[in-house]
Amino acid sequence: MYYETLILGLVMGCIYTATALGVNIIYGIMKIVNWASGSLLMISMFIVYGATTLLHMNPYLTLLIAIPVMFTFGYFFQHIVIRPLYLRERADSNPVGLLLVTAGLGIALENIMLMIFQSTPRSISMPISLTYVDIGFGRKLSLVKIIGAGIALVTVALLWFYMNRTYSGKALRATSQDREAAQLMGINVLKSYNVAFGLGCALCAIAGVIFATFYTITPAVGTTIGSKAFIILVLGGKGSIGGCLLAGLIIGLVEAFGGLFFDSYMSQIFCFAIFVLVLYFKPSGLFGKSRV
Amino acid sequence: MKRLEKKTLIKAAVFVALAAALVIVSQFLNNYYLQIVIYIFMFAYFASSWNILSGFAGQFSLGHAIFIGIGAYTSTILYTQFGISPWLGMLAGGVLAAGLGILIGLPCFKLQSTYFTLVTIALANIMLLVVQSVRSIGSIQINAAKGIMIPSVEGNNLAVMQFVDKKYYLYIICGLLAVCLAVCQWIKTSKMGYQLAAVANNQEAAESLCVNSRRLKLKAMAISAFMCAVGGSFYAQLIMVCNPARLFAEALSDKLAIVAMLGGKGLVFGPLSGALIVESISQFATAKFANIQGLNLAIYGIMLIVCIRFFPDGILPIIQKYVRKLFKKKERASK
Repeated sequence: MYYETLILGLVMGCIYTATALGVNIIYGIMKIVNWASGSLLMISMFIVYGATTLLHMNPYLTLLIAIPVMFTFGYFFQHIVIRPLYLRERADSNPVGLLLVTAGLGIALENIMLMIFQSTPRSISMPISLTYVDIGFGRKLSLVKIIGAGIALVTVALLWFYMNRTYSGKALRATSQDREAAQLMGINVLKSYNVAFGLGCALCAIAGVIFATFYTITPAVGTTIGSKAFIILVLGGKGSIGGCLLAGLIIGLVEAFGGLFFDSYMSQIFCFAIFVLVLYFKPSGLFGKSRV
Repeated sequence: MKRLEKKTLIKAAVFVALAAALVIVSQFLNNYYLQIVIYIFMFAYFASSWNILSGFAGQFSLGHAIFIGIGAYTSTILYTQFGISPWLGMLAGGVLAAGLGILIGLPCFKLQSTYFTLVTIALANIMLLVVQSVRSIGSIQINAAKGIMIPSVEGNNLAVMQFVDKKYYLYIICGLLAVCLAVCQWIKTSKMGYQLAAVANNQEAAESLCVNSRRLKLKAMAISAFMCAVGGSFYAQLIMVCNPARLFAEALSDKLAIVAMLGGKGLVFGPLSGALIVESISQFATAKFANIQGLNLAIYGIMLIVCIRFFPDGILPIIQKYVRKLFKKKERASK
């Protein structure tokens, strides 16, 4: 029984990592807590739902729709709304306005979707949704979750490659380290920020596709999943992709074993308690670099 | 000196006139519209109390639902299981919430602003989950997610704060709001207010001038939590049920912050004007299109984005600017 819980925890941990990556990238580069990420995830789940029911696409193929749509949305939301705020708020170094803007976006998106689609739960059915694969010792695990974890891991690897090996990724990291110096090196900082926000939203889209394959789709789903993303963000440390993955796995395990020994309420309380303790004792995160 | 007296006289007259207008208007409204007006004033009250901590002291909290819920639960439990009048329960809840506020503040005020906000959100979530999962503490029934119903009494009963006629609720909340605004005004103009403003602006600089920022913030937190809890008791009496999903919800905390931010955070009358504008729009929209779920909060979200994007200091300063311009024109014309 422990074995099964362990595997489930690890698989869910990978999937949670995918949800946290988007927040992590945006926070790491722009120091903005993107409160709307849960709602963006929900929107992409609805995109997947729409594409599979109307166009009869394979849910995994909808990545090709969801990613560009969310990237464009993020790029322009950053360009139109956040950029002026960002330039203004640099002066008083109080990013609360930015937090609230993203929170406002989240609330608006969630409730607009609620207005359009009501709170009826929807789900996608695929030929493989009821397939369970053997994971050893006679235990079985749902195939879609394993595929989801696989996609999440591939995303982590690709993102790491992008941030460390390509020019634009390096430019993003340079921007996050020292804005002025990056500007002096000829990096268009504001454009980097647009890209970073778009990238964060695109990562939300990937997480949305993964969740859409096995989770119930309702307009309120974003809050449930989104809160996990923030816990992982704080636990993993800002801007560190490896830390994010480790933190995701920890949260996945805590949730799985908390659910096994206690109940689902307790496991959620544990997650939040870890969050508060980490914030209090090590605000830079378990795996993040200490504050400069 | 004389001029000042005249000013206070005018203010007092305006206040009396407003109170009289309220009493007269409330006679003509039916319970349905009264409910809307009560909600508007209630959110003005909550946002004003929130403003003491987050506006004056600059500690941005998104977890004030904790205090609202504590207040509501304390007075309701005391009333339903010990037979103590909600009026006393209100104060008990307030004291409890203030104590909890200090307990939260002691470790958390050393955190940076964004982290403090995140902690408050997490604490509110923990509180919601705890209340949702606990059935009883000792002999006290909490009923987990189902919540506690307040048994209704007949007629208008002042002692247990239950009225068939909604206008009495309106009087109570207006009284509370007046007290809250008076406290805000007092804080703002006292030494504490200036010190708080200094801390909110630049903590290091304030501390270098011998301002004990930690104690000040704790004070602000206690006052803010007390007021919110008192309002929470009122809320419970108004809706006659203590429901964790309603009283400890993240949406409630967000709403307070949004109302205060839109009106003008850090100003005494900011939250009131915010509530008057935003809450009335959203309440009437919901009343008009009752069948559309989520419209209310969607309006909030959109207004928040627009507001922060175009007038980050809130609506009140803009109104004040126009009023001042108007008066200046008049003065010039009379000259």
